[in-house]
Amino acid sequence: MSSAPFAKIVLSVDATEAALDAARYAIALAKAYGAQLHAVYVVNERMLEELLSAKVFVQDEEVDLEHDLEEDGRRYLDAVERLARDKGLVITTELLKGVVHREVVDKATQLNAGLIIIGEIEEPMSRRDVYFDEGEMILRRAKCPVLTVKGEEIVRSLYEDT
Amino acid sequence: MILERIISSERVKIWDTEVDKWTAIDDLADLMASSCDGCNREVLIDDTLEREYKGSTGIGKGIAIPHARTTGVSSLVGALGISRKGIDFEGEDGQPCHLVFLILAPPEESTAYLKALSAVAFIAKDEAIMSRLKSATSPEEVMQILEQVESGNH
Repeated sequence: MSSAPFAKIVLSVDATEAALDAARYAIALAKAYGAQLHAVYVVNERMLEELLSAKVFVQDEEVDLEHDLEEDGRRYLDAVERLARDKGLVITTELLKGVVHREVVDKATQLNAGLIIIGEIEEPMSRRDVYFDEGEMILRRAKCPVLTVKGEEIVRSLYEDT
Repeated sequence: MILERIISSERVKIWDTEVDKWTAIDDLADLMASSCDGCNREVLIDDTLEREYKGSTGIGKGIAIPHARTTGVSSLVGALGISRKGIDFEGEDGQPCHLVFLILAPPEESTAYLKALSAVAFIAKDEAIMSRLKSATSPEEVMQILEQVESGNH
């Protein structure tokens, strides 16, 4: 096993296929380098609060959607855990709430992680994303190296070979 | 970009005559039902109205964003209505509403729904963009504006 400049990796998971590819890559990397992997999903409370304060949402609607986002998060974290288990890797997972990039960066700092892994940063989906893309914010604010995972075929092949 | 992806020219309505908020929602629901695969008009309008009864989706400054998560649609979809005369959407500021964005998503698409509403709320803050949309004379012009807005070339 090679030594690596990271003993702990934080994986940022959102409810996308890109996040699952990031998970596959993170699992392969954690296995190859004997690193601990901690996967986090952050419920985007900032967006919910913005929509509540803009009067788009009423209170019970915000609560319902937050609940469903938590369920999404648990489902995706379970999927990541299964991907790891299939490769004989035990990982830890955590569901957080707040400002996505802040929670991910803080978690990496708290764990003294040497690497943050995120899914591919896609083209902005809206004008809001141009200013507030959480992946880009993680890249800017992280205090350790950040790896963005691209190339579905390469990643899946790497995972299969792990 | 999300708005030009979910709103198409077939789902843009321009009202030159006076309409009330219920007619506006009804008209936009019609556009959804006639232009989206897998849409169930009765279900989507019931869910939209149920949300509207909980509180007006008029967010002020002449904009309303009626919305719902509903089994009446099979994917995230949007429609836009433009009223020349203004609609009383019973919003807090009491101003007549000129732009009505109807946003619907299936119950399981929580994240995409949140992002779409957030995108609409974000551009709704830009008075220059809203003014251009309000003055648009055709669905095609609306789509051009949305495209320019979301790509930042406006």
